[in-house]
Amino acid sequence: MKFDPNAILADAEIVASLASIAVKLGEEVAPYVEQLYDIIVKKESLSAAQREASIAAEAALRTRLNAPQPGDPDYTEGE
Amino acid sequence: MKRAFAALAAAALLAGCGALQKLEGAVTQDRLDVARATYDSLLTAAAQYNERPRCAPGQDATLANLCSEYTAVVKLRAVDASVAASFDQVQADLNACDPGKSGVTTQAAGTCSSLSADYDALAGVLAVARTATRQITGASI
Repeated sequence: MKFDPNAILADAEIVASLASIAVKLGEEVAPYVEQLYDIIVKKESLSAAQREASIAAEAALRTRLNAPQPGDPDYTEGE
Repeated sequence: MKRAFAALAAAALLAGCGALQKLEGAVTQDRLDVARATYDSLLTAAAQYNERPRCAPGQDATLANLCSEYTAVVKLRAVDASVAASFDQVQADLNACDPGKSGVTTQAAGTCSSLSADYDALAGVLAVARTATRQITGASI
């Protein structure tokens, strides 16, 4: 992986934001940071398979967000 | 991966805190992919918030007691549903507008003409999602 500081600075706001997020949320966001690094810094487009995987990962996060927790009106035992 | 993190951290020091990606310029698949990947960071924060224990009645979330409010989770879910629908709409527009894509042989003029407006709408719901997620989860995103 070749590091190009000029490419990073061109999109500094985006990259700085992601770096901040990565530090705060830890390894959980690693796949997305890596993906952004490839698109923004390495100027590579996602393949169809990568895009499909990315959308599947987004769906998995959405499932976690929508999962009822103990104490919720829609929570049932065993969830 | 570690190098990518290091590069990003270095850029953060150079540029300071920034906002989520601004959706400016031509609408392309790459831009949508960046927006989606960036949004996953917000979604991660929202999912983490939902997975906290719910706050007891009258109890506020603090650093020492990281709990979550059900009503706030409901709001995060609603905002995310808007973002998901908006992402799907822009992706559908892009698929229809790009005749080079597999299975698309003619441009759907009606869909293409709405691409720009749908992208603007996406920018709007992403801004709402960012604000809501920051306010509710406390994440500096």
